[in-house]
Amino acid sequence: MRLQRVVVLVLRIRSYIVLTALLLASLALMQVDDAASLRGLRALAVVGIGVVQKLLGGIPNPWLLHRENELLHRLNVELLLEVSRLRRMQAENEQLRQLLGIRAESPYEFIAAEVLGLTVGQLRNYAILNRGAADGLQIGMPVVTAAGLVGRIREVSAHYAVVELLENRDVRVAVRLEGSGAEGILVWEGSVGQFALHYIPSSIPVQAGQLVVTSASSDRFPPGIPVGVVQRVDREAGSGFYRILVTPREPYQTLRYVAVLRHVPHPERRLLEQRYLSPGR
Amino acid sequence: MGPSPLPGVHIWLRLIGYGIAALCGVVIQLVLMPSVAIGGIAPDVLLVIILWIALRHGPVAGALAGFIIGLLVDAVLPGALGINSFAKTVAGFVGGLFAEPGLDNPLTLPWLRLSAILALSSAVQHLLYYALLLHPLDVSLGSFLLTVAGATGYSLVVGALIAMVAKLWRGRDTISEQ
Repeated sequence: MRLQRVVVLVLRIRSYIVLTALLLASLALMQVDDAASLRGLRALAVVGIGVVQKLLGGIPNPWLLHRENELLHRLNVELLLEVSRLRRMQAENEQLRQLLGIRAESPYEFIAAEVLGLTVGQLRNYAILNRGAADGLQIGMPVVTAAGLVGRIREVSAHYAVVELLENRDVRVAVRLEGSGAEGILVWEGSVGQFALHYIPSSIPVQAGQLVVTSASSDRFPPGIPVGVVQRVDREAGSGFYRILVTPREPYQTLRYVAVLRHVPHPERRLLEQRYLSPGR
Repeated sequence: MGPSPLPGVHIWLRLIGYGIAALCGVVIQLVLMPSVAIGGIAPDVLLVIILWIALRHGPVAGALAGFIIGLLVDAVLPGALGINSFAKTVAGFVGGLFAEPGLDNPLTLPWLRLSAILALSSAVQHLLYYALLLHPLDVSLGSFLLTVAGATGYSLVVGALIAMVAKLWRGRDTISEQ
């Protein structure tokens, strides 16, 4: 009687017994997980799946394609940034090498400085350097690159300095045309990358490509520093002078590293120059 | 009209049919489904076969079908043996609880009921599968539930699509027989 009751109970819950048995079997398999005995079967399955997948390889997966596209876009941006960084580093490297070249060629001691910021396209353009009075910088010191003169120190604090760039309406530079030796005054008239060279008599032959260097007639800058190159020469009707357009050898917008020459104009000579030799006097 | 098959032969033919369907399902699941995976989650077409058997023959058959099909997948896929068989056994059993006596074609069930059964079995299977597969330290609860919900939803959509196509196919057969 009791056995019959047990049998009835087992029959009633047989589905749960089967379920439990199957789950226990699964759990046992998880514990055993004899990978070695399945290795052959799995290898065969992988080969089979690989063959079928190769046959069906043409079926596109829009999700995967979208994801791949996204990844490629991201990679592209990263590579562009990397290329940009490398180009910047290459340019820096080039400028630093050129600065080292200045050290070898220049008779003046100089202090290398990094340009932290600069203005362009304004009437008075300036650059900020990461060197100041603590590094030996003084007001009036000329600032150059390997391409030539770019300006002079206008203000200094302990660790920073302001450079008055040649592209400044207030700046006048006494210059000389290399070759002919004709002297004139270089003035910036407001166009980026273009200077006007005044007071060169039209009787002196001048041609495009001639180098313009600082003149010894002024003590503001040491003589012989390149300032730019003659770009165009026009005769001014009735004045007896040329109208000469000069371009700097390197655009100021790309300034990254400069050299500040340890040259301070002599105050006594400056005073006399200002008093008797200033243009327009 | 030929003689109707003997009951024993009929059972064997049916078992062979289920076996072929299971093998085809495993191949489709392993070869085709990764191509339609979204965010690494592929729909489970094997669940449709397991539910078909479960709804026709009850929870024991459903559990057995789930166990065998899961074991096939486990045997083929690299990784721990028994995870798929465990999850699919429970899913088949749960599906089989909704079996109705004399129900030869589960596609005749109302859509809402069929979808609810599919959703429940799918949720149970994916919950167990990912609970066994994912390490608790590797994934947050939110991410785990999102994965389960995603897999359940995707399997439900694909399962419903398969059921819809099968229903249309059988409907066409019925019309042509008439």
